[in-house]
Amino acid sequence: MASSSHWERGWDVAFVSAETTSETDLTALVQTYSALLFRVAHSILRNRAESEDVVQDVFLRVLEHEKKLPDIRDLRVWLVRITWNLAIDRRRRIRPDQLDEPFAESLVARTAAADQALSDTRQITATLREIERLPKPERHVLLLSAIDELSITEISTILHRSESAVRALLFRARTRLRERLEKGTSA
Amino acid sequence: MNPQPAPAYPNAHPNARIDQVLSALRTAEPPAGLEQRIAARLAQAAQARTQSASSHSAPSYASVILTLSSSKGKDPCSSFAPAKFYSAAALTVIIALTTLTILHRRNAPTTAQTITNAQSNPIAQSQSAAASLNSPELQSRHNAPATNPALAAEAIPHPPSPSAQDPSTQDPDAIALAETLAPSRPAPPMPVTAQEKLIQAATRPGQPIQLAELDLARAPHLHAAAQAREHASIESYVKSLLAPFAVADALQPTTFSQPQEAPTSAPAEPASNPSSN
Repeated sequence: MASSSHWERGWDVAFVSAETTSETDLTALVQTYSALLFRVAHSILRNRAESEDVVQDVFLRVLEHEKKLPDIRDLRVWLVRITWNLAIDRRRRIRPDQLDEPFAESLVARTAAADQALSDTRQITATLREIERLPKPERHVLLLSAIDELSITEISTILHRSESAVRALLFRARTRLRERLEKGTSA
Repeated sequence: MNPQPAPAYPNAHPNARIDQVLSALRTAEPPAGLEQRIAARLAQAAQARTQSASSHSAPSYASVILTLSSSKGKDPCSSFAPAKFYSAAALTVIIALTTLTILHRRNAPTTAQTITNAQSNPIAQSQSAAASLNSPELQSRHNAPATNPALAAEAIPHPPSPSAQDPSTQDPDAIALAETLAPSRPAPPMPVTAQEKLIQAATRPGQPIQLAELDLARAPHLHAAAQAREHASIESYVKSLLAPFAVADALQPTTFSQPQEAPTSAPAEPASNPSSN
């Protein structure tokens, strides 16, 4: 009976340790990746409340697929990809103008004069509008490259493209965006 | 809203405006209390799962969220009491099932373990054989009288029927060894036909003297007796042949005695010796 009690004790410890590991994993995931996921969603939505909702939805997805977490090779990329897709879906359901104007106003210096602030807001809004007019691959690469935490390799993994393709898309996006903005300024 | 105080770029270069926008996206800070709100949202989801589903995985989710929320100073213990109760109940049931499984395994000896011990350790193999020979079944087999065919037939072990015993639970080596070391039993009478009996009689003459001659200690006496018996048989045979002559001699004794007697009228020998002249 001694070996039996020993086995039960070992099994008990294993169960408790697995539960503790699960708690630790989810707690660590929230504390580690919530800020990054918020920035990823915010680069698409440009709205803090909507971005926070997306992050919450992401962790709900994690909760649903908790058993698959050990099988995921790169958890960070997996979380960013979920956030990216959820943000794009949410972006389709709302009017971009509703989100870009408040964001552009938040970027303008508060000490600036009213007319100057209005001009700056229009320029930033135009820049955001031109970003949205970019081809989808170029727009996605440009927005993801704005996040410092993500390397070219991770961006290529998220977008299912090669690193050279990501670099080329990034270069073309900035060139095209600059040209369009120059045309708009000159016009 | 936590607006980022960015410098104004009146009529700035497009690159500067692009960098300004991208920098604003890069430096966006999450709102305060984001993790707590995520924990509350997950708590709602876990509670809904606990109430709706009967799976045992929900309590772990609840405890995860409980930990996450309690680390931030909130006290959602009241909302997770049912979840903890279900978790404790599930743990108790699993432990009970595990204990029953272990007890069942301990009571039932494993065949594989016995075979492994017997094959790897000769001493254990001999001990196993001795234990098999000392088993009550074999003891009763040894105590059964061998002269009684009926009891001997009862004492002969019959192979276990598949319905009575499971072959997988017995040690085949022990059974084979016990069968090998079992005492010999006389074979039952063969159900032979009349023709087969005649063949047996022809192939087995059954002469006792021939069989007894094989014993060297008794061979001279038996040989002398056999010679005397043969001589007597020959004499009786000769007497039986001479019996008619004996009867005739008794009826005509002169006829037969005359030639045997000396001739009565013998030629006279010369009285005088001529040589004496």
